[in-house]
Formats: sequence, structure tokens, C-alpha cells
Amino acid sequence: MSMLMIGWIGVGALFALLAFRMSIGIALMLVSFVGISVMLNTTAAFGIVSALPFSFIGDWSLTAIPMFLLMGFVAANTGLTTGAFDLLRLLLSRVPGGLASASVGACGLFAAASGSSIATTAAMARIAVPEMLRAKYHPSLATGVVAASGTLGSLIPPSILMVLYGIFTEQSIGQLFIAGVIPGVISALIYMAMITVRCIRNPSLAPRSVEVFEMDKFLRLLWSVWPFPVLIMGVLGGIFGGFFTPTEAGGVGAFLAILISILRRALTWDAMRAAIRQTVVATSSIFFLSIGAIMFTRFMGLSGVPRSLTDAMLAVSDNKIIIILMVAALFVILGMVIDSIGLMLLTLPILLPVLEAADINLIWFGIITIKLLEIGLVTPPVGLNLYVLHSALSGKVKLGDIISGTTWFIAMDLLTLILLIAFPALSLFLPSFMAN
Amino acid sequence: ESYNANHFFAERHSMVRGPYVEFAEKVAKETGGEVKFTVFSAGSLLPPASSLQGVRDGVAQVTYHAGTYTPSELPIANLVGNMAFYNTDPLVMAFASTEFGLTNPEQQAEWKANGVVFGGGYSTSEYFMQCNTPIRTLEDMKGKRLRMAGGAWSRFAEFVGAVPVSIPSSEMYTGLDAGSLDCAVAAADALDSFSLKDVVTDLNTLAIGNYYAGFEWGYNVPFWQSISAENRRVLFNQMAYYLGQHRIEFDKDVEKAVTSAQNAGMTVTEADATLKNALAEFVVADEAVLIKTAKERGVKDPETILTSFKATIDKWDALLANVDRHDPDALAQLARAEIYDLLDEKTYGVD
Amino acid sequence: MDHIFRKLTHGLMLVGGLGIFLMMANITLDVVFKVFWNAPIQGTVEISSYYYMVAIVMLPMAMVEYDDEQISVDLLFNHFPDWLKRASLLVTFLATAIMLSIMTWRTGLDAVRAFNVGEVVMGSREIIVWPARCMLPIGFGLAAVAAMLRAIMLLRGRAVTKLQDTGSAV
Ligand code: NA
Ligand code: NA
Repeated sequence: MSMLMIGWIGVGALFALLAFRMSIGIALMLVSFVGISVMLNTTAAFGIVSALPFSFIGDWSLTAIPMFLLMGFVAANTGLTTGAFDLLRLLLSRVPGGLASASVGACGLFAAASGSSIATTAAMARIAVPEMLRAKYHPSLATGVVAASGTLGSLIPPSILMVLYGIFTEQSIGQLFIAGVIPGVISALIYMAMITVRCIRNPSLAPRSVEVFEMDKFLRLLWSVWPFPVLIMGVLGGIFGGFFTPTEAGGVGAFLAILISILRRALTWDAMRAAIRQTVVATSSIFFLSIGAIMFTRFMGLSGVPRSLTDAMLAVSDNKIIIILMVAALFVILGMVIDSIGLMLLTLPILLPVLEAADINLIWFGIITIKLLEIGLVTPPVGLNLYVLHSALSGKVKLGDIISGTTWFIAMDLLTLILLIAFPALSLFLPSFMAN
Repeated sequence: ESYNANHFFAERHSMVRGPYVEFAEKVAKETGGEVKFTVFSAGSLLPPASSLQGVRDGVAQVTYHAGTYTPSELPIANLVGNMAFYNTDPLVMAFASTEFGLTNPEQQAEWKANGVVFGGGYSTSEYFMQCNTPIRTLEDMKGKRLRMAGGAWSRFAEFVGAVPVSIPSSEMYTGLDAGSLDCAVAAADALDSFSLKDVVTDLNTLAIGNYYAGFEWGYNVPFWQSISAENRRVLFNQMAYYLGQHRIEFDKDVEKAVTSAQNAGMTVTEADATLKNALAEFVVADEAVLIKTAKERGVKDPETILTSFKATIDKWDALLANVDRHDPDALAQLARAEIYDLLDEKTYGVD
Repeated sequence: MDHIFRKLTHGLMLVGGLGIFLMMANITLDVVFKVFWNAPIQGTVEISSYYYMVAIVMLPMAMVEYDDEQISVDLLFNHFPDWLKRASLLVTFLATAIMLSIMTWRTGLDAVRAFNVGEVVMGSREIIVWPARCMLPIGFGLAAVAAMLRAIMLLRGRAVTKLQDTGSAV
């Protein structure tokens, strides 16, 4: 049997194991170990086990992952966004669907304080959704907006997904961070525009607010958003001002989040313990999956599957846009059934040679990838954000309502995606300043 | 038969291009297809720190290994690998470290204990300070943050009052761009390969050693013993050729990178006497540290090893003075006559 | 048995949590010292990568496995008939235990070898790393035990999966 054949059988076996609910990490390790044993010999397979995990975990750049996770979970557990949400609500009180648009804005702000979409969704679910339900917003709008806007957590820097993408594709994490800013803002603005138009056309979705704008209330609330400029300046300002590297920014960001929560008198012992536990569990499970992914990368490399796939895809067309559209279709379909990190780490080892052969800018492609993974976070059946929202609301809103509420947002995501693909400058404009 | 060759540099790098990619083609041809290497570059097979382990376990049959990743496993290779300032001519160091690695009995025992057959050495071009601020004098060095390769390089930074920073090479660009680093100390092809030319404004030509620790070709023992003596001779001949060839190509890449950076406005300066003297003082002072470290790691007689290595360096310093250093064939001939032809392909690495 | 093991894994998770906290403090102090006094804390990169990170990843691994927090796909699984659910869980647990035992065995050998040569890494300082290597077999080994215990719990008819995926991933 040829090495290539063994490689493709491995890919098939992997999906079969996943269907039986084996954890993605174990499935990847098992397939790689058996595959390399068959292809070369068991000594080499043991050699891969020996060579990879320790040097992978011991990679300095990866320290940013637990740090950005901690930053987000601290912010989520201490209710960092409450003030910002109230302020935006006041500002948008005259706008149809104002509360929903305020939720989008608050998610965008929170995203700058969190590296994770899940932390963003979980935090906003507890603050914004009950407010909207109280104001008699349609449950599917109230939940859909948070499920979708929560995904901004990965597109607006900092972002765990970008850190992982940067490491696996050897791209500058700092450039990826800055490249995500404009696409993140565009996504949020498109959401808001869609909400406004829909609420004008169908006022029953969101009854008009009776809240009146009061200057002193506005000024009082304005003060409550101070943590966001501090965090944004602290993390992005620190990176681009030359005070520290994107890796070090993780530690500083987590520290700032804790400091801010102490100053806001919001840090309780319970909140800290919950944040630490969530960070530890998330880090350990992400790394477990990643160890499997790097073993699988070696197995794929030895088998020659990526090379043969590259040839096949380039035979269809070597046009960049067509290749990106093929990859996008693949991500949207697989994104329905595989979670974001798993999907990215499963496919990058196979796709990277294709992208390099087609000479596709990997920062641009990174932003497109993150956007696609975000869509996967809200597409059923495996859409982590949907479940996070469902459980954060203790089941008060039906899962079906949440899912139907996200459809309009997914449509807007596809629109954003078309813009990102058609105009690479939206992603590459800001990073171009860094290179000169 | 098909075997795996591993190098953690990118495929376009001068240490992979010739000595791995072309090397694999020539070996396949000259062994009549009996030894075919598939080249895995850029760490796609083994991560940098695990190359030694990987070739021992047979994940790869031949690999490059940067010796300073494994100081405890390779105390002797690190002792001589850290002698980076005694003679800073990269060509001399590539040939001297190759001869030493192939012939010194203690060093040979160390390779054997680590399950690897040493095939040949290498050397990077000179390490230069590539900075975003002018550096010329000893005074200029005070408090500067330098990205260093560790070991003797970090000690040198501290010796001149600078601050050694250890970050991966992938972070050099951001560090220099943002200003959290003042200089990256590396071979100057980094101006191109890590795009440093966008962020480096000043290059100082003081040769802060060059990196040659470990080996360019280390073979898996069962593999080495399984191939025929004739095929081992083919490998010897090809390594002899690429030993000189990679040096010529590496220097060309450096020159190209420096010229294009200069055209884009980078200043090239020389160190003044204060800085040069400081380096000379450091070299003398550091030998004691090298010997002490080696003893702590269980090397019995580091003084004798260093004396023998210095003799080899001096020998090559003289031999290479009388040859056309830009002619790969002339260098190959010298490498064969002085090193590889003296080895017995029937017994080397087999007994 | 269940109780003791749960306590053990929880304790190790807390040690990992301590690692998170120490790493944050260490990196932040290093940045502050660099920015204000130009005096980085030497060894920050090595200690963070080889000690804090290894502790954060490896020590909680058993708890993550035991509490069913590893990332998996239960799309088809949720539609399986009961017998098939139990069968695939059993096979999964056994395969997990076997694969993790392989990881334990090999990383354990590496830890012994590292101890014997007194493994160090070179940064700007020389850092001993063999103690960090020992955390790999501990983490993989206990996670293998966790998978075995889950198999036993399954055979005794106890719940072994989380009811709803509340999401530990990003
Ligand atoms: Na974010
Ligand atoms: Na999905």
C-alpha cells in the first residue's frame, strides 16, 4: 500500500472516530500513531510521541493563549460590560431596535478585552439578553444578536484563534491582530444596520424605548466605560508602542483585567476562582487537541496527502479567488459539525501548501478564516455559541428560537465575507503601516 | 529506498537549498536510486529542539541539529561550539568543526552515546548587530537590549553592559519594529529571510562569532549501517562538496541582503577600538567559563579538548589561506583530501 | 475511589491555576522592569515556557478528561440508539486509555533520560528542565486512569457525559 493511500485512509478513519464521539485530540493522536507505525515503523511513531508534545507546549509564543483566556474570563466573571451596555442603550434609545444595536456595540467593546468568543458571548448573555426580554424584544432577536455578536471576540483583537493561526502558519501575530480591527468594526456596523432596518419594517420585533436621554445620566455612564480605553491602549497600544511583544501582551492584558476589576470593586473570590478554573480547563483542552494536531501534521506530511490535494485543487484552477471560495465552502460545511479550533487545526496542515502554492497572502487568508470559523460558532448542529447562550440563560429561551434568531446574522456574515474577499485592503490596509 | 531528511530552516535557506535539496538529488542519482531522501524543511517533520532525538529514533535518517538545544546531551559539542570567538572566519570554522567532529575520539564517543553518526559540520556567516539605533562604541552598548542566541553570546552582552534578551527568531521583527529590542544579533541574511531590512537602520560589522554548534548532517545509526560502503562513500563525497558550497552560498545571501538593505537606507558601520578591545577581553575571560561549564557537565579534560580544537582551527586557517574561497570545487577537493578521503567507509560509524 | 480521584485531579487543577497566576505575574513584572529600568527578569521566557505552561497544560489534564471537558463532536452520537451510545463510549474510553498509556510510557522514558543527563536548556541563563519533563507522564498517566475509571463507571451504569456542552473551547 502506498504512503499516500495510508494517508487518505487515515483522514477517513479520523472522521469515523470523531463520529463516535472520541475527543478530537485522542482521535488525531491515535490515527497519527497508527498511521506512522504502518507507514514507517513503531520506532518512528514513538519518536514522534517523544519529540513533539514537550517542545510544542514549551513554545514561548503559546503562553499568550492562557493569558488572553484569563483576561476574557476575568472580564466576564466581573461584569465588565454592564456600564458600557447601559451607555450605548442610552445613546441608541431613539433608534429602532436600539437595545439590540447596543448589544452589538457592547460585544465589540468586550471583544477588545477578551481573546475568546465564548467568554464574550457568556458575558453578554447575562447582561444584555434579560434587558431585551424585559423590553419585550422578540426572543429570537434578543438571543440571536448576542450569539452572533459574541463571535466578534475572535475577530477583534486580541484573539486566541489568531494566536493559534499565526503559530501554525508562521505569520506575525501582531499583524494578524491589527488586520482584524477593520473587519471587526465592519461586521458590527453591518449587524447594526440590519437590526435597524428590520425593526423599522417590523416594529413588533422590538418595541420602541420610552427611555429619555438625560445629560447627567449620560455623563455618569460615560465614566463607567473607562476600562475599555485602558485595556485597548494597554494591549494594542503596548504592542504598537514598542513596550512589549504580542506574546507578552497576554500577561499584561490579564494583569490589567484583574487590576481594573479590583479598582471597580468587582473582583470577588468566587469570580476569580471561576475565571481560573475556566482558563485552566480551556487551556488544557485546547493544548490537548493541538498536540494531536501537530502529530497529525507530521503524519500528513510523511504521507504526501497535502501535496496531492494541492495538485488536485490547483488543477481545478489556480485563481486565488476560486481557491478561497472552495476553501470557504469547505469551512462553512465542516464548521457546522466541528468546533472552531478543531476545524482550524484539522485543516491547516492540509490546506497550507495549497495556499502557498497559489501565493495567497496568509494574513488576509487568516482574517477570512477567522470570519469563517465565527460563522461555524453559530451554525447548528455544532455551534458552541448557541449552547453557551442557551445554558447561560438557564434554558429560558428555546434553542430553536436562538438558532432562528441567528439566521439573519449569518446572512450578514456572508455579506461581510464577500467584502473581505473582494477587498483585501480591508484586512491588509492597517498591517501595511506596520511593515514600513 | 526512500528515507527522510530533516532540516528546520526554510527550503530557500542556503543551508537547506544546497546541502539538503540538491544533495538529495545527487545522492539519489549517484547511488542509482538506492538512497533517496525526501527533504522535510522548516520543521515540518521535527521541531528544532528534537532533531537529535528524532534522528536517533529513526523519524528522520539524516538531520541538521543546532547543538545548543541539547547542552546536557552534547557537552563536548557545546564546549567547542561555544568557542565562537577564537576565530570568526566561518569557512575556517565549518571545516575545522567538521574535521574535529569526524576524528576527535572524545567527540566521536559523544555522538555514539547519542545514537547518531556525525557526517559533517557547517557554519553560519558572522553574527552582526542589526539595530534600529546607531552602535559604534562600547559606550553605545550600555543598556541596549540585544536578541542573543544564548550561551557565550549572552555572556558577551552582559560583559559589555548590554541586556541579553532571549526571544525566538520569529519575534525579532516585531521587537525591532516596536522598539522592545535595540539589536538582533544574527547572521545578516536575516535582513532578507526575517524581513529585518524593514526595521533595521544600522548594521555593525563587528563579528560577534558565528554559529556552528552541532552538525549539518547527522545520520541514524541503523540507516548508516544498512547502506553499502559504496553508498557511504557517495555521501562522504557529496558532504565534502556541500561543506564548502553552503559557505559560499550563505555569504552570497548575506551580501545580497546587506546590499539591498543599504540601498534602502541602512547604514553599515564599523566598531571603534573600545568595542573591539572589549570583545577581545571577553574572549580571553570567557574560556575559563567554558571550561568550568564543561566540567560541570561531566567532560573529563576540557582543556585538552580545547587545545586540540584550536590546533585544528589553526591548521584550517592556514590551509584555507591558499585556496580560492569562492570556488566550490576547489574547496571540495580540499575537504576530500584533508578529511573525507582519510575516513574508511567500511568501518566509519559501523564498528 | 471516585471521590479520592476527583480530589486528586481537582488538586492538580489548582496547581495548574497557580501556574497561570505566577506566569501572569512573572511576564508582567518582566515587562515593567524592562520598560522602566531596562532590567528584564532573566529566564522569564524559559521558566514560562518550560514550567508554567507545562504545569498549566499537563496537571489539569486528568480532570479535563474525567469531567468530560475534552473537545469532541457529538452530532451523530446524539442520534445513536442507547446501546450504540454505550458501545461507542466504551470503545472511546478504552482507546483513550491505550493512547494515553503510549504517551505516558514514552514521555516517561524521556523524563528518565532527561534526569540522567541532567537536561538543561540554554536561554540567556541555563535552566534545568528535567523536572518539567516529569509533568508529562504524570498528566498523560492520570488522564489514562481517568479514562479507565470512566469506562468502569459506564459499565456500572453511571452518567459519564456532560448533559449540555457549555463550552470550554474558544
Ligand atoms: Na478579542
Ligand atoms: Na457550527
